[in-house]
Amino acid sequence: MLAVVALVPWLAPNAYIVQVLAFTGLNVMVAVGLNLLMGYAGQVSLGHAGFYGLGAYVSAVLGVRFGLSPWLGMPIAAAATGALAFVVGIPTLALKSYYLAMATLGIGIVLHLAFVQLYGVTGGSSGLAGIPPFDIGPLRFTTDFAHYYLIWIFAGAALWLAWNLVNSGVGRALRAVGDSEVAASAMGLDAARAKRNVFVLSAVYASVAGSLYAHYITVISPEIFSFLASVILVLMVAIGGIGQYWGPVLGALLLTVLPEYLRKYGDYEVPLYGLALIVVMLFLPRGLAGLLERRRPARGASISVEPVLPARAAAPADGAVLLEVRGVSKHFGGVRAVHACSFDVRAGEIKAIIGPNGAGKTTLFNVISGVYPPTTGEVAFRGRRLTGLAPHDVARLGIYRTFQNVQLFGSLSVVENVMIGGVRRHPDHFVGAMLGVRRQAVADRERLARALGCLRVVGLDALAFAPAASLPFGQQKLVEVARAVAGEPELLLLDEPAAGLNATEKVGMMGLIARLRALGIAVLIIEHDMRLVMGVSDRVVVLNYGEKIAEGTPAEVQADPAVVTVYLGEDVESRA
Amino acid sequence: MITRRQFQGGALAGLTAALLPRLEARAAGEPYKIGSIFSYTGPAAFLGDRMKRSVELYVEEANKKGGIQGHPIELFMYDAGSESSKAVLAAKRLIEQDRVDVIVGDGNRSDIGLALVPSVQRAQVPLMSVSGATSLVEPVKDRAWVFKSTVNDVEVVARLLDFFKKKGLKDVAMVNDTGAFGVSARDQLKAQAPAAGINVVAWEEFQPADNDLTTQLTRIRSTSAQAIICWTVTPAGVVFLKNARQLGLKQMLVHGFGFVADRYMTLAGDASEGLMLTSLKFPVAEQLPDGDPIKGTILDYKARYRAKYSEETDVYGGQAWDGISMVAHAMAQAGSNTRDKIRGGLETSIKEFKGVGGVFTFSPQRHWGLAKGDVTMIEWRQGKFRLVDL
Repeated sequence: MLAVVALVPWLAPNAYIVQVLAFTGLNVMVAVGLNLLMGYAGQVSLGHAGFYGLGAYVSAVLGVRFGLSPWLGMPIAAAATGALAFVVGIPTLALKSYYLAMATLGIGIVLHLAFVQLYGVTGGSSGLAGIPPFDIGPLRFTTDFAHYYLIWIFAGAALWLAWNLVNSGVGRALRAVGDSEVAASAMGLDAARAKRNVFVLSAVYASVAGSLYAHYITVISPEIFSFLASVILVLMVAIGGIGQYWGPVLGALLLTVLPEYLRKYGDYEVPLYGLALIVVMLFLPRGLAGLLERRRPARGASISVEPVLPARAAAPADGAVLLEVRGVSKHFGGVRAVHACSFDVRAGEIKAIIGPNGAGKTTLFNVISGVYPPTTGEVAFRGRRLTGLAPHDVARLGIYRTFQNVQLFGSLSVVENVMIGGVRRHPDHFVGAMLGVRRQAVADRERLARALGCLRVVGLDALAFAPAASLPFGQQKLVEVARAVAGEPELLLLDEPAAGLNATEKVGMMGLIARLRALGIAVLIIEHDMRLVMGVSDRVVVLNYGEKIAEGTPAEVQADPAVVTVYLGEDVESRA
Repeated sequence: MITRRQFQGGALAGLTAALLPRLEARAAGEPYKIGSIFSYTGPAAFLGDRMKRSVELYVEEANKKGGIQGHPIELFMYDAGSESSKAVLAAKRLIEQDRVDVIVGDGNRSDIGLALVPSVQRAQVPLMSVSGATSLVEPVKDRAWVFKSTVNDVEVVARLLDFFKKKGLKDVAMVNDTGAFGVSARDQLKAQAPAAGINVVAWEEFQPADNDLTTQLTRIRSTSAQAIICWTVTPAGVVFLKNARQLGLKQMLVHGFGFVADRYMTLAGDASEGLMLTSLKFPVAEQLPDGDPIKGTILDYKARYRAKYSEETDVYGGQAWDGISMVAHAMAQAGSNTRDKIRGGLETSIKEFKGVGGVFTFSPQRHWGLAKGDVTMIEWRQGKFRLVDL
């Protein structure tokens, strides 16, 4: 790859071809950044041409109006663009779904308007000319040849950083966030922050490419950075293959070279271009990179790492109060999903919450794990109030959970899912991951060993490198448990672990829950299966219509008339 | 059975047949290569389409007549797609791969044209621009290879001020769009009005995509303006006319030379009746006196275009026609297709050249050919442009 990039200009018949390939390098840079955002973090930006333009304009204006060297202008522009992306990302990325797409759509248009309107500074719609070229001492970059190498050095660096990132724990965490933000947060990942980091990085990539463009062509005008240009950039990622490392490279290459190649067809250029795009979209749903994909063993399968079994948690002595739920209510409008509910969970204890459907059990879990703030009352963990903490903060304190509807990260393998759970003990550093810091790679290897150990605990170590989505439902539930165990939690919340399991699997699940206790993990279970509940629990809490109606040992609860009434209906005779 | 003799005879005949056209082409001389860049897709296509067709028409007709002094013209036509980065690549391709001798057409928008200037300056290839901005050809020392087949707004504004003086108008108001075209005219008016004794009592601006100008016009209504100038190439100029009519403004309304289009007049309906416009002579060619130097060339071009494409051309197509005509003339006069000879030819042999936009004169100091005299005042009345002041 490196050799090809280095040799191509020598083989190119003329400077025009070199320029086309230099432009390709610029588009590769922007598209690679955009792919990190779209393909890994699952967010779309419709304003990247605006960031590309900001990079171009800031360093161009600094050069033209203040005589600043492009070598200074470019990093200043990148910092300004990064700062803008950071600020835009704070409100929009804290929300799920497509707020970022909407916000960036607006930002792109605002930036474009600013380039047009601030004509005192930007030269307005006629553009800005006389931009100084790059130089090294007395040498000025003037030829296409020189610019080709300059641009591809930057593009190469961008590719290298992106490669490190996607192959690190941070890259895995980004995919997890893209797959299921709720589950990622429950594993202690700050999803908003992860997305923001990538968004800023992709904006900086675009900015640097923009600066390179400005100082190469020496004239810029606003229409290069319009909304349409943003759409073309998104198209490059889509055509190339979203979420595949080489996708944006292929997409940028095709969408830069193809229109130039088609020029010789004159009037047929535009229809042929459209036709080519339609064909790619129709027949290569996974993009051009899908063509390159070989059936090869899953990543990491060849690495031989000795599994490390999870150690017994350094939890407080059995019997000490871990979790306190004090008068918690959660009302949705007029619906009292949970009302004035109080109970404790002690270290080493297995406690079950039961109750009919709609009794408020899962809502209670969501309150404890920080998904919902309680309407009144409070939850404390090891004496610390949890109210107001985000789900990832709650997880980091040591409360992990599973989900009633399995929330695995579908684009990751089984063991990678479990490794996400291990983030709590060894957090990744974004910049460190990007630079491929060795210490971080070593830490990730340890995490792999521990994840394999957790899989051994649930009995799935043979399937470690299978795609998580390919497993049957019962095994997916076990992966969720392993993933939570990898966080070495003090308290584990299991939301209907036996639902959907067959009889044999249920027995296995009971054994597993008992083994969790041996690891020093306290467990709070929601479950409908009474055999499991009565078989493993130390104590049981019964909810009905959001209120706690009974608490005690399984035997006590089974004998409680209020509970019997709820489950079997009122005894009509005794009432009469 | 074919005899040896028959075979030889047939082979000889075949060989001759194969070689003859080649020999002919040889005799006709090496082709002169001309590149062209217009935006015939994207927003600028409403100008670029007729420009492209005009250049193609010229080349086709010239080649039928034996090309330029026996050299056929080889035309390389590329679309800029209303994007300057696309145009830069097109120019690079023309220069480096197709190795053209000269480029006619700059993507037909000022900003696109400006983006091409560094490329052609560095490669030393003559470029005939068809766009409005003065900065395309000024200062000449940094624009040695760029020429222009249109009028500069310097002259258009000067011509307009002359007209105001003649009509005895003292106070005027200016409303321009914030695009390059509008802003450039505003700056010219600012520079020239004081010396002409014209008092600009209001400076208003609008966005090219605006669809309501009542705020600006209401402010102007309270001033002493006797005429209101609007400068834009966008449909917002139609809004200007409609809003002025709704507000009952009685002042003279004037549009710049980027608005001379039947389509815009029709869109404005009643509101365009009596509108004054600064324009080249092109739209009112039929009404020009017979002695006018360019009446014949305009009517001739219009007729040829109509014959070929069965539709009417416009003043913008005419700019491209003038561009290719002057380049061909310069090549013929220079008797060469080397790039610096073409540049020299444009500077020295385009003297009193009768185009369809006006009478062009280039010089080493002046790379745009038209003068104040090529601009006229016309008005729109009863569904037609009419000559008001030649």
